[in-house]
Amino acid sequence: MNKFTKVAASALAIVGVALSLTTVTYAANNTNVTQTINSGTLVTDIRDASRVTVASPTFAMAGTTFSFNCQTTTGTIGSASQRLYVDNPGAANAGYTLTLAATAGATGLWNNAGVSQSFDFNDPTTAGCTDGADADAKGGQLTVDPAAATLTADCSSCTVTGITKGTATAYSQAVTDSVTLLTAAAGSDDVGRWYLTGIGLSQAIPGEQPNDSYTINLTATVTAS
Amino acid sequence: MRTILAGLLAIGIVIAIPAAAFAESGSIGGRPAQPDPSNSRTKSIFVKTIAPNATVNDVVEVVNNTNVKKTIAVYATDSVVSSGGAFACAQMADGLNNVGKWITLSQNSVEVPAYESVKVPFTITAPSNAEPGEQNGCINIQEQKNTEFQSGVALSFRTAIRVAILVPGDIKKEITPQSISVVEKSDKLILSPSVKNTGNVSVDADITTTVRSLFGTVQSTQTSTFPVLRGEVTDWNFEVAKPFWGGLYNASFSATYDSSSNFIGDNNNKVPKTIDGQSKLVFVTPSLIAFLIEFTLFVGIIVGAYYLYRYLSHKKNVKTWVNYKVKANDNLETIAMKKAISWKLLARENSIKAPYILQEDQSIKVPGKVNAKKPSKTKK
Repeated sequence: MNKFTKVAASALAIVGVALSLTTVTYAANNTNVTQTINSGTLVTDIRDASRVTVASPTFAMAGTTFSFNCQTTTGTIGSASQRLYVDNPGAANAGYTLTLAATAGATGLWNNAGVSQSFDFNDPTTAGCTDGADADAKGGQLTVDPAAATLTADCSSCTVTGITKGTATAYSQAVTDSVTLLTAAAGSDDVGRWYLTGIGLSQAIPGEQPNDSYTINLTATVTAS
Repeated sequence: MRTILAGLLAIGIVIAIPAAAFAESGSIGGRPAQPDPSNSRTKSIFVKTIAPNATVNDVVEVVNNTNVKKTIAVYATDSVVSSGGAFACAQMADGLNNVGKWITLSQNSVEVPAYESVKVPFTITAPSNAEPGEQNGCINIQEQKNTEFQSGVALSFRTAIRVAILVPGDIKKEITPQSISVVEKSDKLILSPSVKNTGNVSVDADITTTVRSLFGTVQSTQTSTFPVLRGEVTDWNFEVAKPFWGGLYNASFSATYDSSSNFIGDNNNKVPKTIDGQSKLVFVTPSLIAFLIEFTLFVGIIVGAYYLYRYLSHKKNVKTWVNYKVKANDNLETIAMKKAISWKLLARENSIKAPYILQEDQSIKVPGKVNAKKPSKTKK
């Protein structure tokens, strides 16, 4: 055993003794041990593989090059390191829905950093390639495909029984402003934790859209039925 | 120096291990603070009966189950219908036009300490022109935080609590079946039944999908309970295992619901009503193993049938054919031509092998009567 190892072992031993002493002190002061487990709430967020919440999750779309023609770019929401979670700790016994909509509402857009360039996410005219009759003068349409996703139960006692994935749907202003990702039936597990990976995204970008980086904020909402 | 660093490293590791092990996901949400003990649904959603011009009070509990203090936005919105007819809540940016406008929260933002909750009272006032039937809105709970520009799709999250209000009046509770579609996806069948709510209140319906063989044998059946919102066509995607053997199957669905005047969560004096949806005949491809087995069986049956035919034909020929003595210059082809049969058949029935040589005065069997049809093939 070299000197370095000896010192490390000594330090570990000291910490161990310190922790033991602390435990003994508290045990002596708590003859009646009580424990309260607060009830949780229905929640959704993005977590990594260790189930730690990702603070500002973003999902990149495949890069494209400027084109005079309408083009499509694809992406996915949910990966091995960014999983879209739903927790139901008995807070929604009659099921729930998980939906996805633009945070800015039906008039939302893909914007560049300076908000000087943008294109639409919910204009169905010629499959998103041209501007339609909506208030903005932008074309573009985003399709979300939850059917392509994988739903995984992530607890020892829960299953995916009674939880259905939504159908691939394109946003269309005032017609489809929200896309259903999951619908949990009343008979699904009352206590469960699930995650989705691989939700398909496909965005039609109108021709001659200036080259830039664009973003859109979507809000995932979980609601008890 | 090295010794000190090693000691610090070891202590650092010891301290870091528990922190990493106990790192957990955040959990910000909310729930009704005063659920009605007689209605279990009120533990997760607000269920109210409010006459026009009337006001009711309630409280929403905003929960922060994370280990840090959070600033949480609490705001009301209208409900919207999501794809497939599911319940969803409008965005804050959408403005208020219906039930969202009826709700007045005492606070729109609360500071909630770690692992604590804050109760936010609110009122709901139904306007004088509130339409009879069910009206829905939402109370949304969302962490307030600044977002930086990041290329791609940036996600935010919120928990919404449904606010279901029954405005008394002429109440109609009815759903009608629409259709069922079936899509094959690798080893699964996705059955998508749809129903329409033709009443003015939502209905919790038990939707049952069934796949039967043409003989009526049930291959798979699933039942799940889903809400069908007022005035909406709602569909669901039921995934069932694909029948192993493939073939034609009948997919159907039915819906059972409480047709009484009970509102959400009221289970007294239920009047169950079942409606049958359309059925659909679908062809299902067999699994690879099943296909190989089926193909082998098929080939086996064809080959077996061929040999059976030959055997039966031979037995018949043995009974009806007569002896013929081969003459000089006769060969299989000339004899077969005379008897209007194939030379191959003649050779086979007499067990004559290649090179098919006949000897003069050799006795062979030939048809007693000349066939009406001439043979299509001749010996080269």
